[in-house]
Amino acid sequence: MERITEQQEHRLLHYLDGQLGTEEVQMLEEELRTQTALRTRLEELRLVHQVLKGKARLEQPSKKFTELVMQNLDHLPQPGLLSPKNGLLLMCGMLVAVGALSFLLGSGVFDNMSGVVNLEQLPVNKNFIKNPLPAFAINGKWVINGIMVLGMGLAFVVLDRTVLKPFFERRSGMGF
Amino acid sequence: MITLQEENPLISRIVAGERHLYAELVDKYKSYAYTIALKILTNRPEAEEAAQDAFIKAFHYLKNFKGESKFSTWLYRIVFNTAISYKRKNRYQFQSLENSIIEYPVGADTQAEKDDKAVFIAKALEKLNAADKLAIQLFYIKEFSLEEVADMMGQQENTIKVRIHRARQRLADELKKILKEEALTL
Repeated sequence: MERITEQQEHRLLHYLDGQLGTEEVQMLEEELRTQTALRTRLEELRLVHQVLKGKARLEQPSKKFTELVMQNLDHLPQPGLLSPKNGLLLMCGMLVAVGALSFLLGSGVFDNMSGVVNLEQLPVNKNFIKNPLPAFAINGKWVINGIMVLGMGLAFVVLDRTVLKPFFERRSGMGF
Repeated sequence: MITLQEENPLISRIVAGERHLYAELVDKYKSYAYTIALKILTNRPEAEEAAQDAFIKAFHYLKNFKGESKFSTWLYRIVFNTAISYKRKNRYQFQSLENSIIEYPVGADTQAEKDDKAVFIAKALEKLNAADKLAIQLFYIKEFSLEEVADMMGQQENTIKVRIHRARQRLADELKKILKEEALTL
């Protein structure tokens, strides 16, 4: 069976939409008389065309639609909490905070912040605890490092959700 | 019903404070707005809510409408964006049975065959990507021109044309495949 070119397919679609000139129609009809594959393809596309045309219609909302809109005219729907602008501002804020912490960390402010947390000293009922509870050494620098990593992570999540994702969704043809 | 020529003076009066006149615009465009929202959301109550929200937003931003494009084009874009926001919020909603009703075309086939093919095409439509599916659905609603669909979706007219062509080719391929499988199972 002969193959149909992409160009022929497009001509078939234009033919169905009534967008071909008289000469083009005559040429295509001539081809249709001689090419079975083209004829078959036209029938397949025509079927899709007819079904879609039959399905298409304007839908009607409820009878109270206009009334409800007019009643709620003063209630402007709230936009999303994080617009791209707010997202960028929040991300900048986070980065500034991380930068400030990093500066303080470098200047040795947190060097002396260390200690031990002894769980034995917690005011809990010891009747049900058989083994002694452990004690943890806490280093202030490690805590601040953890907060900074968390802050950076959050900043990138904010950037992704409010700027990058919407941007790429729009570029890829809204991919909702 | 107000005409296109009457629209801009009407909008000026609404902006000037005669807000009750907005009901005329809502009446004129509500079915268009609702149809766009329904095609995106495939859920009637949600589409109704999104379309209403879009009209309320449009009312609040009406003073920014400069009349450079048609009011309908400007409004459809707001409806489209509002419905997309709803879709993002409720990504995992299922399609209600009510929305699965299919109207059948007039053709040479028997009623049973037409029913089958319409169901197959509805199935095949679900396999298209969201943008192609929406473009083709809006294109087939006579009231929306290719230019309007492109404006609404924020894309070039040529891009929409390509989407529609590609979608129809894919639907025809899918239909062929499904019919072949059906024939094999007989």
